[in-house]
Amino acid sequence: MRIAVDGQPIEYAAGDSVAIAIVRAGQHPQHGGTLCLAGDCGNCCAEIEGVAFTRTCLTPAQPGLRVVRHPAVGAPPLNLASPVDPVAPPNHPVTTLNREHADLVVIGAGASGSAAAAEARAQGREVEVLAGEQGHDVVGVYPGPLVVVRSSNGQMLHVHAHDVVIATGAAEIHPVCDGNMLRGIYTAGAAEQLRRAGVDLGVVATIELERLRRIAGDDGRVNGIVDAKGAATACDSVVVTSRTKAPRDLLARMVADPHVVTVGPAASEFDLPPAPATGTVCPCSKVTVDDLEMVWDKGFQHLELVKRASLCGTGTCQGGACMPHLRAFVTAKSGKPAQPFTGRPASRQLTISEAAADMHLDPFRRTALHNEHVALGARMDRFGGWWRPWNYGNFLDEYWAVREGVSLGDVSTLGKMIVTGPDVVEALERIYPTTIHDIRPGRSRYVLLLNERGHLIDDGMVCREVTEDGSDRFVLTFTSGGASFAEAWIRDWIETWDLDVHILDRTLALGAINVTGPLASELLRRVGLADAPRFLQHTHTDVAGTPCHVLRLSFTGEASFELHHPRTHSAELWQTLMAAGRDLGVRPHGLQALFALRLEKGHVIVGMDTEMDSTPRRINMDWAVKLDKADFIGRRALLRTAELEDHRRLFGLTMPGPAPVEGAPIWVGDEIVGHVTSSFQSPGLGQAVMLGWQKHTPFSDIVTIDGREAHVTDTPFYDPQGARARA
Amino acid sequence: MLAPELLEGLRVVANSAAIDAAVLPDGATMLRIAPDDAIVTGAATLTIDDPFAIIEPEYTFVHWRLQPAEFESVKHHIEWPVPEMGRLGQGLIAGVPAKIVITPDHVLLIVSAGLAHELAERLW
Repeated sequence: MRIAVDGQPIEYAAGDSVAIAIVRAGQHPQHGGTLCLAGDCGNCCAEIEGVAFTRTCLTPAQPGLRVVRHPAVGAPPLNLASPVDPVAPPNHPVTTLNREHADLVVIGAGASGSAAAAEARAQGREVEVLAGEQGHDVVGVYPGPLVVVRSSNGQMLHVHAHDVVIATGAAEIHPVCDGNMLRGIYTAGAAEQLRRAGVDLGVVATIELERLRRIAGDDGRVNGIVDAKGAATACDSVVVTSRTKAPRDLLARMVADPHVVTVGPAASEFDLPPAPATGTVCPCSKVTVDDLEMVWDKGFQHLELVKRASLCGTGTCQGGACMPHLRAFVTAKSGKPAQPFTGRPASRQLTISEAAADMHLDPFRRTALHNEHVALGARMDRFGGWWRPWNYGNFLDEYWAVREGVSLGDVSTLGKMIVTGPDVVEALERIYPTTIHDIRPGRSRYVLLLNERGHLIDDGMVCREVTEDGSDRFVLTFTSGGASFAEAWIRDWIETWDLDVHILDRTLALGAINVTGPLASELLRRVGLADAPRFLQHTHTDVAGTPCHVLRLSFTGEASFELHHPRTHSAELWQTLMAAGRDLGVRPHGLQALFALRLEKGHVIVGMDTEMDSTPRRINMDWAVKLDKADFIGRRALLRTAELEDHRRLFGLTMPGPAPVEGAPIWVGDEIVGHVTSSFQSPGLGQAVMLGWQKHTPFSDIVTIDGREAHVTDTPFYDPQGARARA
Repeated sequence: MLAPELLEGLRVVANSAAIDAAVLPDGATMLRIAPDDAIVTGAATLTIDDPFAIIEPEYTFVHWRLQPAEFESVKHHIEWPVPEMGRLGQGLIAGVPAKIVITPDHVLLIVSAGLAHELAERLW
């Protein structure tokens, strides 16, 4: 029976692991280093059947198994069958993920694990034991607790347990001294395995770890040892024993969860070995004692810092071999006991397929008009958690349809929420920085949503209506990308204030079509909306036979009517509007046109033009804040900061010629003072219009963008009196 | 897999005690998705003892009726404990927010209509 190592056949005996077979052939699975043959170190890792960093000591030898040693220097090559094409369907193996729920999981089937399992069973617990002997390679323990297992059948297993007991035992300590990366060094446990397997190690020198000064060698292989007293012994192999073992606690260090406990040797204290003076401390990352000294001298004088600066412990075995010596080094240097560093999954190398088993990207929603957009040739893209039309081929045609005729936009993605309750006005007054109580039924108001620091987190409309029994009811709208957070934010505050308010999120239940443009009223009249609401009014009525909540507002700068309706009616309503407006030149517009249209009006998009610390003052929207009303979220911060000089301001900017790219730096003299957030070469205005930040004072009226002069300009750039929106 | 069907019903947001006390019409079923929030299927109207209750026609969700054998292929995409017979379970299924109700002869797999394509692509 033979395996192939670097293309050369090697005989193996029944029951051999790959590592034992290689040692039997007088070779080393890598290029040197102590072998423990217990899975604790990375010194036997090789590429097996194309999978790098596989522990040969834990892999049974099988006929024809292909083993390739990793390079002595550098990482193993990345084997790709074909160039990576992110668009093409995956051609890699898919790893199946199985899930289980368990009462008690015991990791480890040694003495302590068996005892823990027996004790738990005696107490009536249902116990599941996960152990390497049973084909379970536990690679991670997460809060929950969740135990992640790579199974010997090639599948991944997630076990959700009520309790987890880690009983992974203890590991032998590797020697660190001159010559410790030679071939022919074994721990006592490895030597015993090799002896039982009938492997001839030649002349063996056995020595205690604490007595070993250095290991001598020739041509990369051991030929003798020197003990602490300087006595030299010639040998073919070195077996290093230690009086103590180190807890095998990597899994335990991954998780702080009251439902996870560690027992037995894995939880025991132990005597650290003497601080290393010479040699390789971390075989995986090839970190020597000299490297540790260097980072220590540079000021990295804590174990976690030494680890990060030197990479000691960050390699294949995650500290399995080096941790005792690293702790001893730091303890000796600092004079204080150094605790182990935090463990992080995975404890074993996983393939991308294993790590990604049953993992999914965040889902993106489709509106009920998705198929309509696709049929109209829309280029769909992801925005704010939704698939949305970016354009339908020519966004300037869409722009002109809005400015001169009539156009439809799919705004189903806007957040839509109904709120009622005896405390609803009180709640909304506290949430929004503008007044709510004076909004009359049938009217709406633009609102900002601020956090406690007075920073803008969203914006939208508040629409007031009265129910049949005369109680208040409000419809709130939010941005598409901010709706989910805004809902959670509002619920959280209402619960905190213990106010009696009911909330129903209708975002996913309702579609919304924005009919906009100077001919919007005419189009709506044709489909039955004879008495369209005036600017900032809203009403419930049928449009083309569909029950709609019609909101009159304007983001585009033209007369606009948002038709909120049951999403089950979206396609029919859209088609009816398109058909009724055919002779008016109706066409849909996508986000690209919408962004341009709103920019001409100077409307900000939260998250695009605003930053994490944008206050209303910084974006010139003080008018939307009533500091003289009773307390609201952010009021105290705004009152305080209103007294301070502010060094940040969002400005409107114009310049002749093409629009610079969004994100372009804004210069004053030879200093960058900010950047452009939105930019559009307006065909209607004949110049480039922009929004951009200045973050240095004094603010300048003339700046340089893209090597050209630009002027600070009041917004709106288009229809500053708002006559068209109100028409 | 066939296209999912609309989960027709009413959405009710009200005081939890009022929802607890609601008397459902014959043939109606309540899916309690939160203490103050429920979907009532099989009813065109509902009376709730809460003057501020929000009761609206529901259009958010669609559903598939899965045979037990079909559900087996869905199960390993569910990280949370599968609910007992007749109880509502909610959480991510293959990374998509969804709900399930297990009945003696089928499993109701419910997802918001906007995410039905994502769930179907991931499951089948």
